[in-house]
Order: sequence, then C-alpha cells, then structure tokens
Amino acid sequence: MTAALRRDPDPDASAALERLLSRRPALHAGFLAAQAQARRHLGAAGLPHWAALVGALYHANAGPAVLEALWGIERRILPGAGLDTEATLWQATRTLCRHAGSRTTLAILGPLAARLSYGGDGRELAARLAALAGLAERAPDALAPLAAVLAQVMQELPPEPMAQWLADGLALHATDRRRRAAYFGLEDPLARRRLADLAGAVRFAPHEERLKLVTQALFGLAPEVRVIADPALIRPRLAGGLLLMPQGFPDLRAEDAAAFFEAAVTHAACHGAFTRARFTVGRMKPVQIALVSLLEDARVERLAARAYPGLGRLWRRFHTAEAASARTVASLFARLARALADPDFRDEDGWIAKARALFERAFTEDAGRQGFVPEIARILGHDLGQLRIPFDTKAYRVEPAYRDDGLGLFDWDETDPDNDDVLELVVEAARLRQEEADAAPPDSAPAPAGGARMKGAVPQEESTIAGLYPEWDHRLRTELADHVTVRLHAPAAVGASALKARLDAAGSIAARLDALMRRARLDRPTRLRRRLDGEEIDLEAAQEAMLARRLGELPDPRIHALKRRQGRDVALMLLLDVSQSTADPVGRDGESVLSTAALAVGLLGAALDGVGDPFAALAFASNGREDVRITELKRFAERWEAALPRLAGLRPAYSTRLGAAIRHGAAGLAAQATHRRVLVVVTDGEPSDIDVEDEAYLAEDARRAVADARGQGLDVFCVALGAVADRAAAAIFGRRNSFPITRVEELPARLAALYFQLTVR
Amino acid sequence: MDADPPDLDCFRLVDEPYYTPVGNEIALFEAAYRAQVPLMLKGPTGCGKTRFVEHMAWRLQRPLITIACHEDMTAADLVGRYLLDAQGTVWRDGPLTQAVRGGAICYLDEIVEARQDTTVVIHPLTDERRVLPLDKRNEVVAAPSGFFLVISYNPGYQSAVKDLKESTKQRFAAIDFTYAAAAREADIVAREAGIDAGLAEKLVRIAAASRNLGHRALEEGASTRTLIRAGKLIARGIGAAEACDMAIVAPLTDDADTRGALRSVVAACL
Repeated sequence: MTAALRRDPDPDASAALERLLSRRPALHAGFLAAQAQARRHLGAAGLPHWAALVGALYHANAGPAVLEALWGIERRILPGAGLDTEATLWQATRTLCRHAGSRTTLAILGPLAARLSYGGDGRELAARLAALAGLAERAPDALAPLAAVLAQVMQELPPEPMAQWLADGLALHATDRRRRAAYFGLEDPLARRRLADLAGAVRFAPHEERLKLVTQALFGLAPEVRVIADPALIRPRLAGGLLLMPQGFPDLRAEDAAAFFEAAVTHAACHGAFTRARFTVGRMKPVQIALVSLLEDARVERLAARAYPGLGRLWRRFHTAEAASARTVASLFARLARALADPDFRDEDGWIAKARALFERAFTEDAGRQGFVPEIARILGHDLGQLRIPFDTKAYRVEPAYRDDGLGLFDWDETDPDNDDVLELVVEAARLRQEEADAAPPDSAPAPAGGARMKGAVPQEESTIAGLYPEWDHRLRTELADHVTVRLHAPAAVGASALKARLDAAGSIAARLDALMRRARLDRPTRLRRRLDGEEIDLEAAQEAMLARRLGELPDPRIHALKRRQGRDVALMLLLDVSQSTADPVGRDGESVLSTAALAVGLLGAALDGVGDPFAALAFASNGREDVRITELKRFAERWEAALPRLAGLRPAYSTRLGAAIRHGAAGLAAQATHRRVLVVVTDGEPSDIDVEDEAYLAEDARRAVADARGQGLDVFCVALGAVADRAAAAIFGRRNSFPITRVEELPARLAALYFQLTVR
Repeated sequence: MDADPPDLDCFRLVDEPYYTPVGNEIALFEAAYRAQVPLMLKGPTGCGKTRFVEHMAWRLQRPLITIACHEDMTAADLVGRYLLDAQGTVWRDGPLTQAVRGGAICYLDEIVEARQDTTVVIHPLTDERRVLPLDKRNEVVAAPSGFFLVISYNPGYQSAVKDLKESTKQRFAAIDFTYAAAAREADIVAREAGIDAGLAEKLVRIAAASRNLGHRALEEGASTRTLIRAGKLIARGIGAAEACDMAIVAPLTDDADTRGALRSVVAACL
C-alpha cells in the first residue's frame, strides 16, 4: 500500500468539492469544519491535496459515516500529521471501503480512533491502516472478524508486529476462508500463540537462551519459559515445570530488561531448587496465601544468595519500596519483601519488625525447613486482621514485579471446601493450569490426519526386498541369522517446491555452511615426506642420504618434502529416522521433527554437493521384523537434485528398528572405496518395534550393529534429537559418538556443522 | 658404541611440586609404578594431571621427561636419529630413548594429539618385554626397573580422528581424574594463586556452575587451571569480575549467549 500524492491536484479541488457537498446537508457542515482545519494545519498549498484525497473517498461511495469518522480522526492528528500521513489515511480507507464495504470499514476505524490521543502525529494509525488495507485487498472476508478483536490486537502489538501477524494469517490460510476467519477472529489457538509470540517475545526472546544457560549453570535446571498473552497474567507464574511470563511489563524500561528477566528467571529457578513441596491451602485466607508466597520468596532467595551473593544484589535492585508510615497491604507487603531481602533496610513499622524477627529466627534455626513459612504467615495474617488492614485479593500485586505471583506454590486440590475466600484464587490457578495443558505440545492433533493418510496409502505401496539381516539377541547372546527383512520402499513423488523454498529461506545457515565448506575443501596442509622434488628439504631423508654417501652406498634421492593440502577422502551415509514419533511438532512454527530433519538433510546435502564428498541418504522405519522399511533418498551415484522431491515426500509412520537400518546402511557404505567412511544416524527416540516387547532387545541389537559397523572400519555417529534419544543414543553409540540436540529447531544449523567437525582434521 | 646411562639429573625435581590428592591416586600410582604397569591419566583439561605426574616423580625420586605430543611428531622425534657432524654420523637419542636408558618417568602429554602410527613405537615398552627397539641402530634398549611410562588423555575431545588405537589403550591402566571437591579445589586455588580463601571459594563456585554447562553450551566447564589464572590476576590487583572475564569467560566460549550467561554466573557468584 503506497500512499502517493498526485503531483498536481486541481487547485480548485477544495472549492469544487465544497460545491458538491453543499448538496448533501448531512455532510456539508462536517466538511466545512474539516476543510477549515485542513487549511489551518496543511496550509493553502496542502489544501488541494487534501481535497483530492477526500474527493476520491467520497466518489468511492464510502458513505457519510466513514467520512465523518475520518474527519474525527483528523481532528486529533492533524496538528501533528503531515501530508504523507494524511494520504495514507485516506487512501488506505478508500481501499478498505472498496474491498470490505463501508460498514466493515467503520468497524475498523472505531477501535483505531479509540486509541488516538490528541496531539499525536497519526503515523502509528496510518501504518496500521495501511496494513489493514493490504489485508483487505487480499482477503476482504477477514476484516469483519478482525474488527471485533482489533482493539485487543492493537493493544498487544505495535504496528509493525501487527502487520507481521496479519501477514502470517494470510500465509497460513491463503485459501481456506473458514480457517482464515477463525485466525483473524482470534478463535484459532495458533493465532493467539502467534500474537503472544509477536507481543511478548519482542521483549523476552533476546534473553531466553542466555537465561536458560544461567539457570542451568547456577541451579542445574532450566525452567521452560512461555510467554502468555493474557491480560489477567500480570506477574510471572509458576505452573508445573513451566514459567509463564506475562507478555509485557508496562513499567519495564528497555535498559533494565536484561537484569529484570534475569531476576525473574533466576527467582523461578530458586523455587525449583529450594521449594521442595507445594503448600497446602486448607483453610488459609487469601492474605495468608499472599504472605506464604512472600515469605517463601524471601526464603528461597536467601538460600540461593548464600551461594550466589551476586543474585542477592541483582534482586535487591528491584526492591524500591521506601520506609513509610502507610499501613496498606500494598505498602506493607512491598516493604516487608524489601526488609527480608535487604538487611540494611530500616523500617520502623512494628508489624514489619515482628515479621522480620520471626523470619530471621526461623531461618537461622533451619533454613531448609519450608514448614516455618506458613506458621509465620498465620501469625502475621492474624496481626493484619487485628490491625483492621483489609486485604483485596483482586488489587493485590506481588512486588517487586520480577517475582512470581505465588499461585504455583500451592496445591489447590487440597483446598478446604468451606474456604470460600480463596475461591477466586482457585479458579485463577485452575485456569492457568489449563493454559499449561494447552501449552504442552499438541501431539494428538496432527497425528491422526497423517496416520490416516498413511493407512490409506500402504496397500498400494510397492516394495522390493533389499536383503535379509541378522539380529542380535542379547539374552541368547547369539545372532539370529536372516531374522530381519529389509524392504526398499519407493519414495513418494511430491513436488519439492515447498522444501526448496524453505531451503532458500534458511539462507543464513547456508551461508555459514558455505564458509565451512570452503574450509573443508581446503583441508589442513599435511607434510609429504621423501619426495623427489618439493619446496623444502626433508631433514630426515637428507640425513640418511648423506650417511649413505659417506658409507659409499647409493643414496635415496627422495630428500624433499612438500606441504600439500590433500583432498578429502570421506564418504557419508546418512540414516534418517522417519518413525511416527517424528510427526511431533517442534518450535513455534509448527514444523514437525521430520520436516525439520528433512530441511537439515537438505542443507547438508547441498553443502556436500559443493565439497564433493560421496554421499548417500536413507530414510528408515519399521513395521515388524518382516518389514524394515528403507526409502532411498539419495544413492551414492545420484545427483543431489534427485533427492529433493523424495526428501519432501517423506511422511512419518511406523517404528524404529535401528539395528537393521544400521546394518543395511553399513553394507552400502562399506562398499565405498574412500579412506574414511562415516555413518550418521539422525533419530529422535529409542529403538522400538511392534513385535518386540523386551525394551533392551532392540537397543542391544543396535549396539551390536554399531560395533559390527565399526569392525568394518566405518565411523558411526548419532545425532540424537531430544533428551530421550540422547539417553538411548549414548548407550548404543557411546557418549563420544552421539551428539545431543536438545532444541530440534537447531538441527538444520547444527547437522552439517557436526559433519564437518567429524571429518575435518 | 654402547652408551652409558645418560645423566638425567637435570630432569630431577628438587622442590616438591604442590599437589593435593583428590582420592587414592597417589597410592594407585605408586602401586602401578612398582608393578611396572604403564599408566594412563584420563580427565578434563586443567584438572591437575601434569602436576600429579610431577609430584609423583618427585615423590619417587625419579627424573621426569615430559613430551608434549603434537601432530607432526614422528617416531624419530621420540626414539632418536642419526645426525651428522664433522667426523661423521652421530646417533642422538630421542627423549623417549633417553628416558628408557636413564630409568626415568616418561610422560607423554596429550597423546591423542600425536598420530596413531607414531604412538605404536611405545607398544614394546608397555608389555612384558619392556624394551625399545631402535631399528636404525640395530639396538634393543631394555628398560631398567626405574623406567615408567605415563600418558595423559583427555576424553573430552569430540573428534573421531583424535582417539587412541584400541591396541594402544588396552596397554595401560587408567586413573580417572576429575576436578577436586569444592573445598579442596578452593584450597588449591587459594594456595596457587595467593588469594584468600573466601575469594577462592567464589571462583570455585563459578567453575562448578560453568561445569553444569559442559556438553551443552560448552565443551568443558572452567578448569582448576583457569581459576588459578583468574586468581593470579586478582592477586595482581585486577578487579574480580574483570579477571574472571579475562581468564574464564572469554577463553571458554565465543558464543554471545553463552558468554552473557557466564558473565551473569560470575556476577552471581562474586
């Protein structure tokens, strides 16, 4: 949407328009006022431009209400707005009217106008309107549902992320109107998640990786953080193993964000490390619950600060409550929090002094005893009651803001049924537990669709038997000869354009691989000794030649040495696990493990194509020992391009009979005549199959297969996706030879790098 | 020409190298020495393997010949070669041969760095034969009882090309080294760096935290050596945070997130 002004508008446009509108009494008065205002702020030179814009919208049959609405907006923005903004405003509205109709346009303009304050420059509004006009051109049907939630969307997203969110919706549901309406009406959970990502992640995302490492280093655990777009969530909240992070903190300055999130995440990790059990609610009053949470916060922070005094300093930064005489819950609680965190803080209040004394005594006695917290909370809560200081559950906010809201510290199932006071809290806690369940990977959703399709496809599939392989029975300690049938299944023919597009999109990774590849091709120089000619003398050989001469023998003339970068001599066989579990989604984009792995293989394949290493890839799955299903993605002799459609056509199904796949892969690789032969298995789980009950059987067989392959002189490695696979792989391949990738999203960036790490000296 | 046992007095350690045992390793080493079982010291970098060997050489009153292995090392670099001088050719023993003749402790540091075909020259020394054949000289040097072979080996390298041959590995008994327990490590750091115990404890805490990241964001966590380095810088008047940045954080990683995390860890511990 470009807002271009006509270079030379009719100088009398304004007057002409005025004449035209004088016949529309409903509009005329409004027009005159708007015209006067435009003249005042845009000047006589700007007026014809303005009139042309208004005229264009009028002639587009926008209807008086739309015009009135825009004039209303102008009243607020015109003092600051320039002609460009004006042009965008009017032209975008015209586009909206043309595509979505004036009623919808009005519904859109309403929430937009409501966000305006007097004296702004209107740029934000113009940018939003332009984005909306862009949407109207492509999917006018989306605007009506969007208008209903536009206020919320704008509340959460600045113009640019909002445009991104709109574009995402279009891209996701380019054709399906019904699903598009659900997205833009925020009924689609994905739309909400995307909104939350764009809103909250703007602030938290840059710190996420670092903070994960910080808590891992300090406490040996990394709470998973999820940014939640929920206006009711004002403080971070612990929910099971998750830390729910509000999508924004209104008072947080950008320069404080790093420290703030560090404080929040380390505080949550303290609970993970030191809050051993959840507190029982029983008959506790809301004020006591808040106190328990406050005291427990102080307890775990103290415990952590014993080992890490720097954390104590970090947290104290955010305690800004000053000593005061106010006796409200908000003030008292904030001061108490500070008093417990900061020994130098002076506060004369009797209640705080008592709380401090009680806490200090209990903490010195046995800091690890979580039970003293509710005991003190009961006393202090009772005192507050005696002082007739009311506690308002709704208005209460945990201070400082980095601390979690405490709801996650309680076991709400144990609430006394007569305890009506905490009903709201119970509801709130339960609601977020629902959120927690929502946030868990929805592995049930995509699987049935894919599974059903596979079931339909099986009978028509053609397969040829590729070989019979033995299997190792660890109980009998013997190989069962010809126990497993490996079948070659023809790859599904699918257009590779989507995969190609994703490969192109991964440009930054490809660029890094490119650099790696150049280095790989130029291997480190090696010194070649005993040459007839060369750039330096081989001292060893020269010595011997001189000796031989003195002894009267015929010297060996090969006394030179030269440095050469020798060519690489490596062949790779890649085994890709395509069992059903690879249908699980990873990351935010909803890509599955398999499609991420396919992308990774695609990148690696392109890189290898550049280096010239012989390379083959197989996909494997299994459906019992009679049907270990191998799909050849690329044979050694084939060109790389041939593999792309097959890679794109991979569908997850069946189980993982790893040993048979390794044996088949090793057999193919062993025939290669290169100096090094590398077999890499990419898998996301432990070996399993439908006809095997003994858990250890397939793992032991795979171990055996790996040992056999090594015996043939192959280097066997495993890239393990996720923690389960990592544990399994370490046992099968050995710790040194398995590479865990905990975040599957990183696989594309890591796989090729790993390969070069393994093969470049 | 039969060489007399060479004079290896310059390889004798006069002062006791400071070493605090982590476990039973001194007794294990002594037993292996008496039983003439070659020894492999495994463990992460900077956990005190080299220092331990020095200490044991002092304790057993043997000269110590240390060879830092590298990729370009040839067998001749180890066993020796003929050199020319004005009169003719002279055989010059390599450090390994010297150690064998002189009954010294020979320590091959980071043996995986040497090429596998180079390291096979030690094989005859590591079984019952205990001899070193010098094929160019047509001589077989028998090792006296004082000779002892020790290699160090850091299993942390995740590189397939850098590993010992199975046939080499199995000739050695191994002592597994880990970092010392926190209190002892703090003692070591305080003593070696000349800083007070409180500060040393903090440094050790930083290292412990960084080791939690081993095999994730870092290949290995901060070693005792880096802590001593940081401590020495602090003893020279550098600020603690700066010294940690210089000696621990910056050498350990180039990744921005990991660096940020380590800095936060340093800030938390100090």
